[in-house]
Amino acid sequence: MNKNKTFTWKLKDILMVAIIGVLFSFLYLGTDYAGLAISTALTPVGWGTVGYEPLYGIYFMAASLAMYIIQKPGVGIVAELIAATLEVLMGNWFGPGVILTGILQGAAVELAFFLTKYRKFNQKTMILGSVSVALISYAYHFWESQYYLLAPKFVIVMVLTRLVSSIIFTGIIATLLGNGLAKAGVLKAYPLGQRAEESYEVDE
Amino acid sequence: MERINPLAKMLAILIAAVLLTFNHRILLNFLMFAGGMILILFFSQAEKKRLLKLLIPMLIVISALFMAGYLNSSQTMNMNYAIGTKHVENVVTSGPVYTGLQLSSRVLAYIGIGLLFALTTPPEDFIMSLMHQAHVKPKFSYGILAAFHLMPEIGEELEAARLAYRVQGISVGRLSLKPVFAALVNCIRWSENLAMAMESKGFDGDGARTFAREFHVHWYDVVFLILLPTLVLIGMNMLPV
Amino acid sequence: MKSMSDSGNLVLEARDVSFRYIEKNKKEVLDHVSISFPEGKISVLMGASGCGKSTLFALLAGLYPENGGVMTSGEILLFGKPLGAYSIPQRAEKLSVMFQNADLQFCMDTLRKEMLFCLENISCPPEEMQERVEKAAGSLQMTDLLDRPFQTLSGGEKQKAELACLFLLGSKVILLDEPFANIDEMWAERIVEMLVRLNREYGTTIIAVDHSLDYWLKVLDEIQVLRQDGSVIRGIGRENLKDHEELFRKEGLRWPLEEKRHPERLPEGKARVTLEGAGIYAGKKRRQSGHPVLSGADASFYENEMTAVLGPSGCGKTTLFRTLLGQQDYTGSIRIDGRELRKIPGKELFSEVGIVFQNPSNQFVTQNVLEEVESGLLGKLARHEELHGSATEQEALELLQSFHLDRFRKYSPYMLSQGQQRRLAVLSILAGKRRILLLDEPTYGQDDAMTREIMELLRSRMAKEKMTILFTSHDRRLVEEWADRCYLFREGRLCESNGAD
Repeated sequence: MNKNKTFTWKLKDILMVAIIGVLFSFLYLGTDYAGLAISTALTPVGWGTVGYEPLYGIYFMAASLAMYIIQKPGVGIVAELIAATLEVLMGNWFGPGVILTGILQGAAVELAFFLTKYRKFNQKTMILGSVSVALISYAYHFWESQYYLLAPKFVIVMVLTRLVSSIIFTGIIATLLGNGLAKAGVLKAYPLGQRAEESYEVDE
Repeated sequence: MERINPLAKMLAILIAAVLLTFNHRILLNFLMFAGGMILILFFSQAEKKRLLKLLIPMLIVISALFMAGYLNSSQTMNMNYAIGTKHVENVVTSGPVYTGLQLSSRVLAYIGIGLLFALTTPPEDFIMSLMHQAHVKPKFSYGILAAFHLMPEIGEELEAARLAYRVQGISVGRLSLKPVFAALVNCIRWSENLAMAMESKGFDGDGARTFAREFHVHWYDVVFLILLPTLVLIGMNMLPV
Repeated sequence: MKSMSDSGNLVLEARDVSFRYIEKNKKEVLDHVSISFPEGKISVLMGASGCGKSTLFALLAGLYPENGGVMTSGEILLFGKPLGAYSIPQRAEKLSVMFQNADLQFCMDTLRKEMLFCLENISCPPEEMQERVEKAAGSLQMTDLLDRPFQTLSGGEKQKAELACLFLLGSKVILLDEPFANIDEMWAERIVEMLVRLNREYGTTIIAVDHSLDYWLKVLDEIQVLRQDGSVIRGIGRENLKDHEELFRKEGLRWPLEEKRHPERLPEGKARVTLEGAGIYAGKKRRQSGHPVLSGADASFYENEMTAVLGPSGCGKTTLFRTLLGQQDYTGSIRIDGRELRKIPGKELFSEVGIVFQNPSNQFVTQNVLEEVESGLLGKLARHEELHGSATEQEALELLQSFHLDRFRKYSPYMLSQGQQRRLAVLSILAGKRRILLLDEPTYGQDDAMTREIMELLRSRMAKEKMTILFTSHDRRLVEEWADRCYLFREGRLCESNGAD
């Protein structure tokens, strides 16, 4: 099997990524109020913007999970594009702008896998990807939202919070979910599921 | 606003948004927001209630940004340096306030044009336009649309999984992974089922098909596409602050 | 091996098909199976749980190996041509499929849009589309459904909508996978009516996979039985059905001509759950804006009794269960052992009331079959390593044995088949020692033998522990044979009925 061949998306793959995207958006929305509350509480002291950062990693989960399951070049970017289009459909208030950030974030996640020549799909690479996407997405916001106008200590706290959130959600939790799904036997059609099967004992 | 081709609208807004990232004039940001609101309120059929519901949390975010800028500004001098133009004397007085306004007004501008798109574009129109004008393959377009229509079911699924844990005496938080996992397993099954159902109705994601509704680009789409970025450019160069 | 009933042309045929899900796994799910279906007939394919009939169905429909698994021998022929030789739109005009889960068949949000989507798929000229949609909907008397959002349709209406799409595509063969599993009797009969019409008027071949003949018996042309050993018994019709009782029994299939049995009544117990003038609303708990599911309903559910709750799909049976679990607001009074439900704290309530959901895979809390039952026994998440050799483990294993699930003890619950998952869900709830059980479709997807075992185990448990059991079902026979009492949803009330009508 040629591992570097670009992936041809089947309808069910698209649906899988899209449905996972919707599911994670619920997870995100469910915590939205919490983010809002933290944000509101911190606003008077000027730290309100940090309120949403702890959950930022959930945004990148669809891409990293898809990458981990399907394990083919291009998957991260396309997965983020699908997620971004969905966000536009749901009426995201940044509107079409999320499509740009989507491409950027997908590429950032994929960077880690590109660096391993798409050979290593493990926890390490996933964490590398989560670090990459946290830093690159922050760099983009730094410019786009003019965070350079802010005091350095503030910027550092924001970067670190996003980094930790990304490592936890995008890096570790996505890997755990992927492994669990493979073990549950619903990924038979994908590389991750097949890898799990090889170590699977059939007890008949 | 609903009549403008979704893709043209999207491109216009996208270009405007990119241009805005180079903009340092606070007044333009406020004008963009006001313009967006005027178009939504008077030139579209958007629901006012929905607008209000979306705006309230955003205003909190914006005030958070303002306070962040105000209290954590990296400059304490006046804003000479930040705007770098000659119109320093008027309006804005001190560094921190200026930083706060810089940060928050830009987001306000994004929100103005973002909402303009979100509230005046039916999801299906956007997808159709992606297919017709941007030549996105039907399998992507209809796949995303199908997942979008499944949203209520997916939400219920997650709710059901959470309930299942609670009734078995296991307490779960909103971010707890276990129910998410159970819902995820089902969701992946669903993606297979739905794909099979769509294919069994003859859906071939790559092949030829006809369309019940075609989207076209009209003269007014082109006008909008040119006008919006031009206005932004003019604003960036002509406005005082 | 041609059998005598091979009259006319064959529309769909599996020749010597072997199939496995996992390439490296040596065991074949189907081992050299051959089956064929004649044109213009209504055929029903039956088989015990786990005999591979679902897999065979997926192969005949062209869903596998396209979407997973490996076909190691044989071929599938549609009108004499290999399935793979058709493009997807071409195939849809010959053969289309209706699934048991009505919620997952549509990609648009209304029937009109879905029908347009179908026509686009087969490249129908745009100017003809609206007319064809109207015409098809009109001839099926479904015009009023066209523009209603799918979310607001009942399961039966959705299945009917799906059938309308297949009709519009003009498919020559319609394959159905337990189409009545999630819908009530009235709708099931309407759908059978519709199928018969398609068959008689348009010569459409109907092939159904089902575990029960209830709705088919009056209209079918042939029954085929896929046996556990992979051989197919053909040529069973309405006239000679009587000669095949032994086969049905041996394969664990429900014998359609059987005399009804009646539940053995237990000594009368006290009423544990009572509704007095209760009103329940559809929709989320915080909002009561939804339409009332029940208003001013009275009912009592007794100890030592199995009560069936019946009603058309979408009438609010599941909402009633959610309410009894304290997940939904209500008006009026609902009492459990005399205490007002809304005043009972969640933890206490959940230790007394247990539920098996309609979709069992929603309720697994572990990733291992044995742990799942152990968790039920302990009432908290169990870690198997800590329980090794303990009495809990022993008890869990015995329970698994009683439902024939012990050989799967190392599996992930999600790897089990639908029917096995449901048995496991029932088991882990039984293990919890709760004395009020709510069961949403407890035997759906089970063959007859398994249904009996589940119901018998439930009844014996009920007698031993003085339980109160409520269950919903679409299966009239099941209700008649096992329920002591029966409530019907009717116009916002719960009416007690004796189950016979």
